[in-house]
Amino acid sequence: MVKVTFRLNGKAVTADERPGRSLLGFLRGRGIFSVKHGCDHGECGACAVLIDGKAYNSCLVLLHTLEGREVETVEALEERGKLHPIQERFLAEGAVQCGICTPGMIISLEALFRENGAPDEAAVRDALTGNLCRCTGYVKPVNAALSLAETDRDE
Amino acid sequence: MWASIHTVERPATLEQANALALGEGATLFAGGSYLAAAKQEEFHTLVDIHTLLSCDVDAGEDAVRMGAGATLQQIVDAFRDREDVLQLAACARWSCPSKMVRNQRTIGGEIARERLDSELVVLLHALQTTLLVTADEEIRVPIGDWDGLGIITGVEISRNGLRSVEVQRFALIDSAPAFVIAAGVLRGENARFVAGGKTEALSHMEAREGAMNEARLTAFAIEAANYYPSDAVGSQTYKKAVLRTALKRIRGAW
Repeated sequence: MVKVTFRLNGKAVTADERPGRSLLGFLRGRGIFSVKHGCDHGECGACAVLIDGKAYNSCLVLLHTLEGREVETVEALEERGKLHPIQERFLAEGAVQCGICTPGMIISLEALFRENGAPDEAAVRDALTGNLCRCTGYVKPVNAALSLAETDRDE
Repeated sequence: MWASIHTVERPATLEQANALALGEGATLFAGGSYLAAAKQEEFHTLVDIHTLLSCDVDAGEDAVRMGAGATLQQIVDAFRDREDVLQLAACARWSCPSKMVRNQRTIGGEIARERLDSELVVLLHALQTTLLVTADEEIRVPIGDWDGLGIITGVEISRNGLRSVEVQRFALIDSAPAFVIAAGVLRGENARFVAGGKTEALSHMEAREGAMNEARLTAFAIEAANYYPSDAVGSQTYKKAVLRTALKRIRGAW
């Protein structure tokens, strides 16, 4: 077994799991279902999480690599029932269809906005390249991100 | 879940890591993006070396030096505010379109993987990159001469005499893996081309700049095309034509 302690959505957790256990499997085992078993190969992005503020595919992250690190999922973004600005923009723009890719997209965009408060379209599309979506054609998700960037630029 | 993994070893030194990696069913683990995706059943022990590797990227005036633990995204970020003359950031992006995977994939792992359809690997061969490798001792070895033994700890690309670095890639769509990749480097009076992509082997050609005429490029394309398969993308003849186009575009940019 591998024992590892890290922070998950603001709280310290200790995992005592078999070697080879992925972060995706661990999170869903704890009832965190925003992360999806899309492909298990790091190709679809439906399992995206933030680790130390950067977006990763949790299906490719083995638990033993997380010692002392900070993991965040979409569940951590809303505060006391108030949606995160990216979530609000997605709803306002109608950027959610089936919803499978949505948590992953929001995580990717949150990572982007943490490093660049006013990204351009190229940066938004680069951030979303690892999030596969069959519904939206990326039009409204990109619009949602750019409208938020515009707001941040104006402020 | 990677069910075949029973043990994770965290060696304190690279020498220990080398010894552990020789064990049956053991494999080195740094970024892990390839290993965790493939979940190969024959591996039972991960020898985790990611804390032993430097992840620094130094885009110096005389050379670019990178620790083997540098992620592809760190390479992209290192050239965000400076001119990407060596095409390193561009090739890091092309070889791994997903930013999430770029955050995890290391340059050392990319080289060790010997992925012939990686724009970054093809470029590094064209640039005659020097690898720092630790086996019994640390040695410097040209990337084309590395026998796959030991642990890559660093990468060095000399800027000496560099006049032009061009990369051409052909894919069905921009975000798809390229089926033909060509990299051309002009250093001093010498030119070097490397062809890769969906091929059985990288092909190389070197000559004086003045000798890189159309006939020579065509001959190289014919020879390199032998390693490309005829498949759903196109025939070997088609890929030869694509490669020849790529080489001419690179030559035209000089």
